[in-house]
Amino acid sequence: MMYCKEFSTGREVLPQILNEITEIITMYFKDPVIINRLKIAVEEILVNIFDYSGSDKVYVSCGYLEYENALRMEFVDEGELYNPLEKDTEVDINDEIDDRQIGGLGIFLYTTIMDEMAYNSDDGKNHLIAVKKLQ
Amino acid sequence: MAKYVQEIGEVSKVKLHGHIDASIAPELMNEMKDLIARKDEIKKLVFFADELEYVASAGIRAVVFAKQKIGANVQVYLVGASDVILDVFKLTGIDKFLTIQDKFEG
Repeated sequence: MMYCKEFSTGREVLPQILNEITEIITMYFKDPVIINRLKIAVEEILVNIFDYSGSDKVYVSCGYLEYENALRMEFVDEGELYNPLEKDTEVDINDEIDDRQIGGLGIFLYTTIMDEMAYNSDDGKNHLIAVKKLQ
Repeated sequence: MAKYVQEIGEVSKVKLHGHIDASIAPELMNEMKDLIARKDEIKKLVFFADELEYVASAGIRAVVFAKQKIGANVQVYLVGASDVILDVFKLTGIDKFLTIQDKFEG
C-alpha cells in the first residue's frame, strides 16, 4: 500500500497526519515500542519542516519497499533549501540535566529511530527520506 | 483551570495524560512555567504518567525544563509510565535524572 498526501503546514494538522501514518505503520510493525518510535520520528520531522522551512505545504508519502523489507517515508516541502542531516544534533544523552540543550532533540530522535535517512534537493524542493527496516 | 498541574505544594503533582504532541505541548510548558514560579514551596515534583499515551520531544522538553529550573534539591518522579512511554524517556537519556516508580511511594 502506498500512502501519499499533501497537507498544509502547521502544528494543528499533526494529529491528523500522525493518525493516518500510524495506520500504515501498524500494518507492518507490531511492537508497540517501535510503532511509537516511528510515530515520534514522523512528528519530529514534520515539526522541523513546519517551524523552519517556510513552506505552506508538505507532501507525505509512506510505503513498503519489498526489496529492502522496509518502510520508506518521504517528506517533501517547497521551502528554503535545508539539509537537517548536516546539522549537529548538539544532544548528548550522557550530559548532565543542567547542560541539556533544549534544541536539537527532535533531529536527534528521528536520526536515532530510523535505520536510514537521506536528503536531496535535486528538483529544488526539500526531500527528506526516512527508512525503517522490518525486523 | 490547569490541564496538567493538579497540585502545587511540598509535593507537587502533574498528571500527564493523552497525547502530548507538538500541538499540545505548549500548554504543558506554560503550566510548568507557572509551577516553577512557585518553586520555593516545592520539595518533590511528581509526574504521573499512567494515562499518558504518547509524548514527543516537545513534551519531554517541558519535563527537562521543569527539572532544570526547579533546583537540584527537589526530587522529580515519573510514576506509572508504560513501557512505551518509558522508552521515550530512555531514548533521550532523561530517565537517569528522574526517580521512576510504578506507584508513587514518596
